[in-house]
Formats: sequence, structure tokens, C-alpha cells
Amino acid sequence: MRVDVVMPQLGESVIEGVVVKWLVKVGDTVAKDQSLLEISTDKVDAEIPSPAAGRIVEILAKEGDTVPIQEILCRIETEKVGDAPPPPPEKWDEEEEGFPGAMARKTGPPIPTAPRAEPPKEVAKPVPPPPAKEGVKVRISPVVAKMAAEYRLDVSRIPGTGIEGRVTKKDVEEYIARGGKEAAAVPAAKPALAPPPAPPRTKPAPPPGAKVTPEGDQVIPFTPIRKMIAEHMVKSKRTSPHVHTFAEVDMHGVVTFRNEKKKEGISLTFLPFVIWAAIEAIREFPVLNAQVVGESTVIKKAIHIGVAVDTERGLIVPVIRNADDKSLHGLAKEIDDIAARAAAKKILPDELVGGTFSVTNPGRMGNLFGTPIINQPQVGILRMGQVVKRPVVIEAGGEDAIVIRPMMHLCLGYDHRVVDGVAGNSFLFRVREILEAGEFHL
Amino acid sequence: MESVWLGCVEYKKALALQLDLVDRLAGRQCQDTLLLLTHPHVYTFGRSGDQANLLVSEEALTREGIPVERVSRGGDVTYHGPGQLVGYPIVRLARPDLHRFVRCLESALIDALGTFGVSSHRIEGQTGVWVEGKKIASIGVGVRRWVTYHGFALNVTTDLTYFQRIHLCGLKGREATSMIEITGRDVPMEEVCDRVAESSACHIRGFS
Repeated sequence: MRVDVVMPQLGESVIEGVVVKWLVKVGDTVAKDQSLLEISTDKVDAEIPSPAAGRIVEILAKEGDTVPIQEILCRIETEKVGDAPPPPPEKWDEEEEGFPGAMARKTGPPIPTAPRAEPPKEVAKPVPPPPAKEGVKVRISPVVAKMAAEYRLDVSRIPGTGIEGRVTKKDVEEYIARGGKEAAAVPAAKPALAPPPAPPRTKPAPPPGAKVTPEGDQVIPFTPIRKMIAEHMVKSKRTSPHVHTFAEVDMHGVVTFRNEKKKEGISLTFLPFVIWAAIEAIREFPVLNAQVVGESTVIKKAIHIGVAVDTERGLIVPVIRNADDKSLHGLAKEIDDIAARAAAKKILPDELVGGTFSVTNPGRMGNLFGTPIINQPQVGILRMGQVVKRPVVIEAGGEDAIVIRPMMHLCLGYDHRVVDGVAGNSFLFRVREILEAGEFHL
Repeated sequence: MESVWLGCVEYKKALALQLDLVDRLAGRQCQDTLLLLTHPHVYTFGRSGDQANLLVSEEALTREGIPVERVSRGGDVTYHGPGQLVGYPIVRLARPDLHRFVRCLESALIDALGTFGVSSHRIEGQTGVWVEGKKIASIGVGVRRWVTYHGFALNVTTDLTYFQRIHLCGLKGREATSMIEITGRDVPMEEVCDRVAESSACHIRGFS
């Protein structure tokens, strides 16, 4: 049977490759894994191994050709008829360590605090996965552990097709589809920036990979993401002298606008409003959208806003590029898209770099206020607190009156190497003004 | 990923060792390995190697006992010799994301250099690690059976005059530099080796 050899994708944003040299010709018999040709990309020369044993029947690209990815380079006729076709080229499988961080270098991700935009809905409390049977070594990833807990599965009963017999996410999905065990009711949560639901009341089982000491302590080796977050946080604090300033914002105008739009069927969280106000304030105080390079302050022209998102594997800060070109509604849509893709683990590494300012929203359980750590190499970060109804004093018709208003604390963290108190305070003041003025349009 | 210090190894011998590891790793008989070593003087050409980038004749080099090798790695011509830390990360790729691999090598070197107070960076479109417009580390990678070989070369106390005989990596007008030139300190190779090993273990991951 025929087997096609295609141009592989040699990098995330790579769309083609160059055929440098054919190592075989039409009519040659080749073994599995034998190198067929050399392709090249910047500084890397790769030999493409044959996916199967057989005979080269057709060569479709010449030396020197630039070939788009996934296009056929040559065809092989395998010896036995009815051979199982070779596995298709591996899809980009995000269930893998090293994913977002490894791609993001110095202008890397990490994340100040855990954000949640919407109050998490009531969900069945996850039961910790039952311990593996004695003597059965079941190796699973945290994703699979969570799925198993949610669906109340005994992982040791699920056949694993991954490396070394590991149970992969797909294995679990198929097991469920085959009716292995009945799934617990898991309501479809709105794809907000909300990660897992209320913390379980039962004590969680130690994560896979954790060792338990004789005293009962859990030793959990750092995952790559955890290591990266840890390093970035230390580095950020060492690099930037952080100053935090707070504002208390009357969100009445925002709530009114939101409710109007809800009647029109458009659902908005508070986050797009805060981002929108921040962008406006950045226009007036551009030093908050800067970076320190050597001994210069570089005021960035473009405004790319990082939005902190909590995922199963840790916090990431995907960037909304050119956020200043977007309307309020556009920002809201993009935030929803990011949240959904983050939950589905479809955020690309390229989306985690290049931010110029960050906004973090811990949501309902974010408490009153917090002092976030700046996302290097930026110089400012804005943290939202919970919106709480409070009695406040306003002046109406020359008289003081007490009203109930939804109040939210905002905290601006800034780098005092280049942002002085005047700029930092004025920026935050302006953000508050914009939010309280309530003059929004989609 | 395991790191191994091999001391000074002749170029072709190191290449044979790499290819053996590549085969074993492709057959999943061992784990990802980073070979760290130095070479005696040698000039090597990668696949895009242009003979014209060697500015002296090969006969002249042969008379000095300096070999010239042509190998299946990316990149043009470069020099290896005493005082230069050479690293060959032999890593199995579950997906052919070579760009990320190269970027990880750059990041590992940039971070390791940072611990010595050397502030280095990448240049978009010019693979390698740069300090003040000069190249402190070169990178050239080969891939066979989806396992990487060849790798990087970091100038610690390298005699930079040997670079004058080539257009380094085919780039005219770009000079090489070294850690001793930038810092003014004679950094011990062992220390650099340790930091590079550590940094590589951090950055080169998630490929299989």
C-alpha cells in the first residue's frame, strides 16, 4: 500500500521547508527510519526518516524546492499489502510538559495571582482518585488525574496507550465513551477565566509524582511551569522596586451599562471595562506602558495587554495584541476566546510574549485587594478586587447622602525605577475616573 | 536530560559518539543526553557551508595540523578549539519543532552567561548568542531519526584570532567574542560547564 511522506512543520509559525538533498531515488528500497532526504531551516538541518519500509515510487519535490508543510515529498509502496498505515504525523499534543513556558523566553509569562472573572458555578465536588492497586504502577498526568476524579474513575482500570503504558487523556475519553463508568454530573461552566470549582471539602490526594515523607509531608518536585513561575517571581522582585497604590472604584456606572447590555443579550464581565479604562489611561500616561532596557526607558508604542488566566497547570498571561484598536465588545469577545482556549489548552506559545502591560482579575474569591508582582519586562500591572456592595457617601444636590454602591478596589503595581509616584498615582486615578464616569459604548 | 563532561575530544571521534547516541536514543535505549566537551583546533562546514567563507587555503591549515570537516548540521562555517565549550544536546523530538529547540539552546546559553554577569541576547533571524554586536556562541543543529545532534559552541577563553580565518557562520563583518574578552576575567571552564549544564536542563525540555 501507498505511504506518503510529507513536509513536516519544523516550528510553530513555520509554513514551509527547503529540500536540500535527496538521499534516495525512485526505485530504491528503503528501510523504516532510513533517512530519505535532508531539509533545512535556519541553522538546523534535518534528515527525514522513512515512516515505513518499502520502495520509493515517486518523488515530488526537487532539491532546492521550497515546499509548504504537509505537502507530499515522496511516495513509498510498502512491501506487504494490507500493512497497517503508519501513524499519522503527530498532532500538536498540548498534554505535555514544557508547553507554554519553554517557548516564551525572557519576555516570559508567569502570573501574579489566580484570576477568576465569574463566580464559579456549583459543581459536584471532585472526589480524589482512588489509589492505584498494590503493585500496579499507573503513571498518569495531572490532567488525567483530574478527569479521573471528576468522572470517578479508577485509573488503574483504564488501558493506557501512551508512552510506557501511560493513561492519556484520550484513553480516558474513550473509556468513558465505551461506558466504562458513569460520569458525575458536571455542568457546562461558562468558559470564563474560572478554573476548577470550589475547593473540595475532602482532603485532596497527593498529586502524582509527590513523595510522602515519614512525617506525612508531601514533597512535590517542581513541574517546568512551576519552576518557571518561581524563577520569574523572584527575578521580578529583584529587578523592579515595586510600589503599590490602591483606588476604590464605584462600579455603579459599569453595572448599569452591563445590565442594559444584558437585556440586549450581550454578556460582559467587569474585566473588559477595566482593560478598556487602562488603555485609555495608558494613552495619557504612556510611561506605564514601557520597558527598561539598559539605562533607557523605552516607551512602547503598541499596547498589548496581558490578561492573567488560571489553568490546570499553572497561571499564564496570554496577550491581547493591539488592544487599543479594540472596542469594549471586541475586548470582551477576545477575553472569552482566550478563556475558552486556555481551558482547552489551545493557547499558542507565541501568544504569551510581547505584552506591554498586564491586568489580573482574581474574581469573586480574590478578596479585597492584593499587591501583584510585575510581569517582566513590563513596568505596570493592575489587579482587580472583588466587587462588594457597600454603603458610601455621595454628594447629591449639595447634600451628603448614603447610598449602596458596588465598590471594587484596584491595585496598581508599578516599577519605581521609571514610574514615579505622580505618574503611578495619576494613572490609577484616571482609570478610576473613566470607570466611574460610566460613558461606555460597545 | 543527563549531562556528561568528556574533556577534550577529537572532532570526528565526538561525531561518532554522537551518532551512536542518536541511534540508541531513536531506539529508546537511553535518555536525552548533553555532551559537554572541547575540541582541538578544527574548522567545520555545515550544509549551507560556502567554501568561500574559509579565508585561508585548506593546505595551509593541513600544514598546521588543523583539519577541516564537512558535516550534516545546519549553518555555515565555524571554528572550534581550546578554551571553547562545545555542547551537543542529543534530544529525541516527539514533534519536529526545531525552531523551538534552537531557541531553547539560545535561552540556555543566555541564562548561563547571565550568571557570569554577561548580558547577551538573540538577534531575530541570526541564530546564535550575541553580546554588543559580536557573537559569543554559535549554534548549528542536525537531526536524524528525529533526534538532534551537533549543537552549540560557547567562547570562554578561545583564541579569537582563529576566527579571523573565516567569515563566521558566513556572516561578513560579524566578529566573534568570548567571555574573557567581555568580562576581563579568566573564567574557569569547569564553572561555565556546570552553569551551562544546569541551564540546559532547565530550558531544553518538553520535546519528547
